[in-house]
Amino acid sequence: MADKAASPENRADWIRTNQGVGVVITALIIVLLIYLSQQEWVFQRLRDGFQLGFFTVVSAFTMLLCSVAMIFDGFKNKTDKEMSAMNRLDFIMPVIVVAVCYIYFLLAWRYDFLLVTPIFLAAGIYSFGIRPLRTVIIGGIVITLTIFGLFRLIGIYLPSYIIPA
Amino acid sequence: MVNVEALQEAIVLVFTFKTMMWLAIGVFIGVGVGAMPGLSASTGVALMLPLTFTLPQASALGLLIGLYKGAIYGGSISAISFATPGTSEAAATVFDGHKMMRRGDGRKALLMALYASVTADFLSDVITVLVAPLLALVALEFGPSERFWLMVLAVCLLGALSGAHLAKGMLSAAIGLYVGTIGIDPISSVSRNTFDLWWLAGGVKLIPLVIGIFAMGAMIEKSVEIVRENRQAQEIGDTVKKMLTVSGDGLSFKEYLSCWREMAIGLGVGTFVGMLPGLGSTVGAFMAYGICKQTFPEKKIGSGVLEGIAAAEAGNNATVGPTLVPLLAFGIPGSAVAALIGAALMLQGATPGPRMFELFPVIIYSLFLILLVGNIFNLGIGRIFAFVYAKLGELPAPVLVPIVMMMAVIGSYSYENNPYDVVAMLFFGVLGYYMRVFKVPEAPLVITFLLAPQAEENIRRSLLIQEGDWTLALFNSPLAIGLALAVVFFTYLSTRLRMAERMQGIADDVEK
Repeated sequence: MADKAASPENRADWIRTNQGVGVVITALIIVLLIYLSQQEWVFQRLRDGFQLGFFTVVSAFTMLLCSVAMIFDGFKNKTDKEMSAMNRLDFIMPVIVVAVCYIYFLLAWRYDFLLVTPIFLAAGIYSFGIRPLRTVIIGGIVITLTIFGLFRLIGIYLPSYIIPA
Repeated sequence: MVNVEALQEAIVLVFTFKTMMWLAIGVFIGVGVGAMPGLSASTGVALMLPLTFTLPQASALGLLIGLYKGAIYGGSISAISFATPGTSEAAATVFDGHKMMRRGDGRKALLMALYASVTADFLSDVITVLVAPLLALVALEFGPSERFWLMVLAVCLLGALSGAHLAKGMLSAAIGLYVGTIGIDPISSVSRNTFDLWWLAGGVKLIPLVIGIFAMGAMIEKSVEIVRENRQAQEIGDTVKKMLTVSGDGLSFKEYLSCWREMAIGLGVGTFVGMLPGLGSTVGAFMAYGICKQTFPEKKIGSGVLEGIAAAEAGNNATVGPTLVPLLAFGIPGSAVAALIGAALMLQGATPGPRMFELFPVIIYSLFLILLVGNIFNLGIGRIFAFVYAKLGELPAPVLVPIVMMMAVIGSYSYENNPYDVVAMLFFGVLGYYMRVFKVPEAPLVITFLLAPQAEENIRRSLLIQEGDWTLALFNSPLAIGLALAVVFFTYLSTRLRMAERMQGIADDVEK
């Protein structure tokens, strides 16, 4: 029984339960509390007698209380459907998506919204499995021009050297 | 008392071509957003929020309220057409709606959903117009400690009722409070909790936060789903062709009237549920549906009948207006979308709360008029385009995801032309994604984030009045003590209600 509990499969299953997630969140909040305890501003008393870090500390302790409750409450052995379906890639994927979006933002604002956005849209749609490529490219261009036009209509100027403000 | 001068001014502002155009655009986008699985009213409103900054007040309210109304109704379209509710609010509509669709009565079902939605929405808006000013009068009597406890009560109710798991709901609220303390202290203007990042000195802005949590978080989840399912290449040509075809039978006036009891129950339940923080339109729909199913067993609700659609749709749309009541009367948003509409009002320079009725009566009357007129647009646009929207649900998610991501990036940047807002939005996008996966509700985070500065200001004002005595600052009146006790009582009661389990029970019952 002890061996079974310690097997990698069981550990992987346990981490997906509310208890497993609760332990991870608790660890993160403890790190946050240690960080807060080392900050001078947390203990700084203002002229009205109020401690500057009061609400920050209250919120951090409430988070800790909730995460500890997740470890011990009646739902501790429950695994949510999305969690049970998750694999390692699903944890890394958000970081990849966010990085791609940030690169898109930097390029669109550095060069030209009208040049970069159709490429971003077409690449995204195509990589998610939509075919044929010609429709995807035309779609990317049409959507970009529509968004650009709509924003201009309401007075928001997206960066473009092709059609300047 | 009605401020006739302000009402006249509001009428002039609302009934202009520009306001009507933005209201129509809002409803048009909203129905589409609701009809597309994966997008919700809060995603749509969050994405449109930065645009309202450049619009006049009435146009901004028209766009957002139109979008909200349209999205709540629009969810029923894909629920009936594909048994895939576009929004969670329409989940109860699937039971009868899709069965009717399979029987060949799809057009009838779609029209019943539209008429029940608009009827209940309009009548609940009338109740909102009558109730909100009266509650605001009561709220004006509250001092800082009473206001503080009222906010604590709202946050606890939100945390307890927003999901099936109390700890997760409260965790979300606590994260919102923590994020709300980042930046400059509202009273002494001293910087705090910035992690030594200079660009956080001004605090986390609402727009990157809501776009990140509601839009980017949802799209990251969708993209993970697409990659996980390792979809085969999809041909899009047929989908576009299908979107242009229409078929089905109509709905007679007699059939519409035959569902008046279900619509009345939906109206009553939805209005009540909408006014309570945390419950929302999904609960409104399921409760109305459950009550009608038990009250009228002879109508065989659940077997594919109009009455089931009428109850569910009246139940969810009747929450639209009333969800603004706590926002307008107490300055406390009762739902995520109410928080976003509150944010739009703040962007326009009007802080929601009881004093708004005195300080900004024109905005209040404009909002009331838009709430009422929005139903006419919802009816017209829904009637003309419902069958086209029904095909919109077939639009593959892979097309949608990059578009919404691009909108999220430009929306968060264009608000203040600040690249760090994009960084903050992407951070909250990742947080929103993990919250969705761990089933931590997002609404308590956003609402507590909005309430945090107000709660802090109130308790500190109370402390100043009571010369630093915490006991007196917190419990300086019987009402403050009563509200503090209500926090404990209602939090306990709301956990005992087990709303999520009840809704699942109704769904299981229908499946049987």
